[in-house]
This record gives sequence, C-alpha cells and structure tokens, in this order.
Amino acid sequence: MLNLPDEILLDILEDVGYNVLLTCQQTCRRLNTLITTSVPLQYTIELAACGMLDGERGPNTLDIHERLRLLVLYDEAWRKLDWTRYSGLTHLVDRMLPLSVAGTALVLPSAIDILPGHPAPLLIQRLPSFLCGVEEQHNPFARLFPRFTRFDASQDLCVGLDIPSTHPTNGQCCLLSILTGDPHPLAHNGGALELGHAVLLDLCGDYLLESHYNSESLWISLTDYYPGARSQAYWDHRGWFLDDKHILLDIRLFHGRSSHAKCLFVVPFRHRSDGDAPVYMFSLPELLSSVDRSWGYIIPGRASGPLHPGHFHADPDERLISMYCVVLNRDQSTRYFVVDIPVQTFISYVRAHPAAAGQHVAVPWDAWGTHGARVMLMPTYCRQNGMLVSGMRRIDVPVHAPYAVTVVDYHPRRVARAIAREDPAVVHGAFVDTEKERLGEGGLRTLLPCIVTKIPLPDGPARCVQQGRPLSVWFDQNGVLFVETARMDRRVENVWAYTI
Amino acid sequence: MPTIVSVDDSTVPGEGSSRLLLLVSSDNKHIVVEEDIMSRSRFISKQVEGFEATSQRHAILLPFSSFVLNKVIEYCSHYRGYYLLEDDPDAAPPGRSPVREWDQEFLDVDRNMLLRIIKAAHYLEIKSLVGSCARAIADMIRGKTTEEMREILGVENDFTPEEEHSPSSKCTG
Repeated sequence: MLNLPDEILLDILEDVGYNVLLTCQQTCRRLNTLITTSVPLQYTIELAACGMLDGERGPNTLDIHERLRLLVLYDEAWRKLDWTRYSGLTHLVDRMLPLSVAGTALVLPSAIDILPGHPAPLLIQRLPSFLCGVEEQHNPFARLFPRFTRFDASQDLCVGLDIPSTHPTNGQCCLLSILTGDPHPLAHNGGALELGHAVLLDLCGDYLLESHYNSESLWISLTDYYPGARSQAYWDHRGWFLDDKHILLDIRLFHGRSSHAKCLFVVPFRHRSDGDAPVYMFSLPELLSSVDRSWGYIIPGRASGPLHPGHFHADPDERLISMYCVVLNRDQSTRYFVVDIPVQTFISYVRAHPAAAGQHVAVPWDAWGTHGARVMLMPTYCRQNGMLVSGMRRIDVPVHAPYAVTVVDYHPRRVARAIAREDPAVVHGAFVDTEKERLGEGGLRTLLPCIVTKIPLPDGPARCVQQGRPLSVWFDQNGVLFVETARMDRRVENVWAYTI
Repeated sequence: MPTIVSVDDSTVPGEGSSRLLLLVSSDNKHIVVEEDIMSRSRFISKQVEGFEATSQRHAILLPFSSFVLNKVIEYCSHYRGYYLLEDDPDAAPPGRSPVREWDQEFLDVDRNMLLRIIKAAHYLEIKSLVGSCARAIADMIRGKTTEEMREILGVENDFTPEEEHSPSSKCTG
C-alpha cells in the first residue's frame, strides 16, 4: 500500500468521509502528512468539524482553497470569541426585524406604512464602517416593493419578486445590484428570469431556487441563474436525503402568513449522471387530501395543545432529523419541544409502504410521533440565570426569563468531546439553527445544528450578560458577530456587534 | 520507465482495421492486443503517437505481471468503443458518479490484486479504472478501526508512543 503513489492514495481517500480520514491519519506518518497537506481532504474534515455541508458549486462560487480559508476563519473566530468587547448599533431602534443579512448589508423592511396589503419597501443598512470598512449609508432600495426578496452578496445581486395578491400568477421580478441599487447586469442578458409563475425560495451559489405552481400542481426547481445551462432539480422548503434512494420533503402550504405543515413526504429519486436532474411534481389536490390529518399530540399528557411544528434540521452524521415544536397552552403561554426522529424511522416506513414509480409517500405523524422519536421538553430552557443558549440564529426565549444570557462554548468539536467523556455537566441540548446560514460569501450551508451546552462557566471567558432578548445571532465574514436583541413587541431594540 | 525493446516490424502485423500492439509483462509474457482496445490508456496512446512520429513500432515493456495486464486488457475490451467521461482528457473533472455495476463485479478480487490493478491503471493512465479501484478500496477501509486499517493498507505504525497518545490537533480541535 505504502508504495502506492500519493495521487492514488488521494484518489482513494477522496470520498471516504471525515471519520475515516481521521482514523487514517492515526495509522502512520505518511498518511498523516498526506491528509494534513491535502486541501480537499482538510476541507472535508473542517466542514464536518464545523457542522456544515458544502454548498453548490458553480463557475462563480469560491474555490476550495478560499472555502477552506473561510471555514478556518469561522472556526477560529468562534474559539476566540470575546463577549466582553462589543458595541451597539443603536440607530436600528424602531426598525422592524431584519429580513436578512448578506455580506455587510443588513436588510430591513422600512417602518413606513404603505397601503394596506402592500409589502413595505426595503431598506438596506450598511453595517458601520468601523466594523466593516464600509461607509454607513442607506441603500437606494426604498422604492423596491417585492414580496419575496433574496440577496446574494457574492454576486452583488438582489432578486425581488412581487406577486400581487389579486393576480397570484402574475409575478414581476427585478434584479438589482446590492451596492448601487441599479439594475444588475443579469437583468439585461436574460439570465434567470422566467419567473412569471414562480415563487422565489432562495439563492445559493449560482443557483436560484424557485417553486412554481398552478391550480393543479406544485413543482420545485433549481435553476442556474446565469444564462445557458438551465438545470432542474430537487428541493423544497426543506428537504433531506434519507438514503441513496429517497428524499424527505417537508412541504408547507401557505395561507396568508401562516404555514401549515401537516405531513412529511418521502420522494424516491434516481441518481442520474447526465446532468439532467429530475423534476418532482406534486399534484395539489392529492397533496391536500393526504395532509388533512392533524399533527396531533406527540406525547399525550405532556403537550397540552396541538403542535405547531417549527423548524426542522437534519444531522447528517447522527442520522437524526430534529424538529423544533411550539405548543400553545390555554393561557397563551408557550412550551417548546425538540423532537428527534431517527432517519431510519422514515426509511422503514417507506419500505413498508412502497410508492409507485414517480409517486411520493406521505408519512403520517403517528408513524413516527409515538414510536422511535425522542422528545425533549424544554421547560427549563433559559429559566435560570446563566443558562446558555444559542447557536447561529433566532432563539426564542420564554418571555418571563431573566435577560441574563450566557453563551457557553458551543463549538461542536469541543462539545462532542465533552459528551464523549460523559461529562455530567454537559447536557446535549441540541437544535438551534433554523435556516440556512451562509458563511461569508461562499454559499456554505449549515445543516448540522450547533450543539448547545448548559455548562455554567463562572470563570470562563465565554460569558456575555446583556440586557435584552436575543433574537438573532449571525456572523459576518469579517470576523464580527452580531447579536440582535429586541423588546417584547418584537421591534428591534439593538444590534450588538462583537468584535472578535 | 520501461525499456523499449526493438522488434522486427513483421512481428506487429495488422495494417487493417485496427493495428496490433505487442505488450511485454514483467514476467516476460508477450501479449498481442489491438491498438484500438488499449487507446483508453493515455500511456499507450502516447507511445503510439511516438511510433507514428518515428515510423518505428516497438514492443511496450510494462512493469507488472501478465496476470494483472490481462485483467486490465479485459477491462479495456469491455469498454471498447464506449465513451467514459473520466477518460476524456479534455472534459472537466467530473464529480463522483456511481460505480458502474460491471466494474463492481470486475473488481471483486482480493486486496492485493486490487492494489496491483490500481497501480497498473495508474501507470497506464486509465483514469476510469483508477477511480473505480479507488472506490473499491475506500469501501474496504470504511468503518474500520486504526488497527484494522493498518492491516488492510499494509502500513506500519511509525508514530512514537507520545505522538500516538496526543493525536494531531485536527482530531481533537
């Protein structure tokens, strides 16, 4: 084996997975050196350590060296996080919750009330110059009224889609440059823009995720938003690969502003190497008839009301899908659950109920709700001083909780080690990240939840006591962490910038 | 580099549809094979180009046994005339596609043989075969302990005890 040339060894190790790589490193010096010096292999390991999956690649996305550099930066930044140094961006007071953050821009709906039924125009807030080296300014987006807006800072692109409620199939799309507010060059050369009947879901890398529908069908496509190569693929609001034959989809039907997810779907797929990925179509009448059953009560007696499934996330290593649920009590207070569902549960169900070719399988909640799911009730969540919280994004803290929040070591690798040592002080709290996060501009996605521990660290450096309720935490590629706090009425009170 | 053995031109017949090549294995077996079949190998193609430039044809001496060579020829014969993306020097590097079924059966051999085939394929520059072998070997080491992996890879533990007990920073963060 050892007389194999390096190239062959790298070929072999290319897709073995990070855990095999780590074992391999311990076998001998030569393999150790080989793995430590190979950028693609280090990238694999680093991705796993940071709990991320690789994003889409396209001709204009970052190359692997740059992605690795950003990952290392990200990793380092979390280790060195010093919560004692921060400054507030107080001028954000009275704005609504930010919609998104892209690069150095924070996107807010403006506080101006326009006509009822119209979405508010957008305001883009530059993060201040002392943090990002960019002059503070209001971006000229004030005249943009899109209902769906997504930003891709790596392409300097803002895509807005306005779908008038009176003519839901008559959408208008606009593409603007984030920096200048002028029409983006793509708007002139015909990329991406057949959005007439589509709902824009997301941008990532060079891709545009759309959901198209008519009165009969709903389908979802992934489009390269540069001209040429128009490829169609999988995806939905949420979707995971269960195994090499099935995709699990969480399909939500929207009524006004509320979503009703009542079922999970498993869709078979076939790998096709010719680049022409399949499109999945769902018949809406059939979908509606299959989702009329309620989510019900996952644990009778503990949950006192219907579950409102919140966010899902999948852990590719543990093969768990976690669901964050909110239960509304009669007194209008809320309780939080985290339900962990082993992926195997779905696979078993699908094996027992095979679908005809091209059909999906609706997995009713009782197939997994009372069997095979691990439910964690979260009543103590943030009830005591010094209980931690958080990972990347949106933490809803019970409203009566004291406002002292300690963010304890959340680094997944360290926490995983602590758990491996069965450290009794560690509680595997789990969950958090609810939406895809970007690391800088590389189009990386977080799918693995960051692990939250409940270790009070009285003398540790990672301690932050702040007034206010953390709503969002996000991370800028310049090494600045932003924690957004809000008052009870959910208007943003403050955004804290932590320099690292 | 193999030694190029000069042979009489008459030993390489076949001016017809496909010309023949004489391959000599390390155990000195002479194997005649159609040029067409071996064109998947970049190494052989380059040799043939050399022949055409100098108008002299030679036997090609290869540093592995006839047993391995026959196996590689079997592979090339099977895919004769097929276009495989991995073997196209002008194509962009492809992502990982699933292992072809025939390859799986073809590579259902013992570990030493597999290592010999991958070395031969690497020498002959047949990317598709290297890729298939690499994944067959990767499947072997998946889910193994360090000790088992050393056994499979035929590797000696050359770490000092101290190094072994303090794994590299990458493993521990």
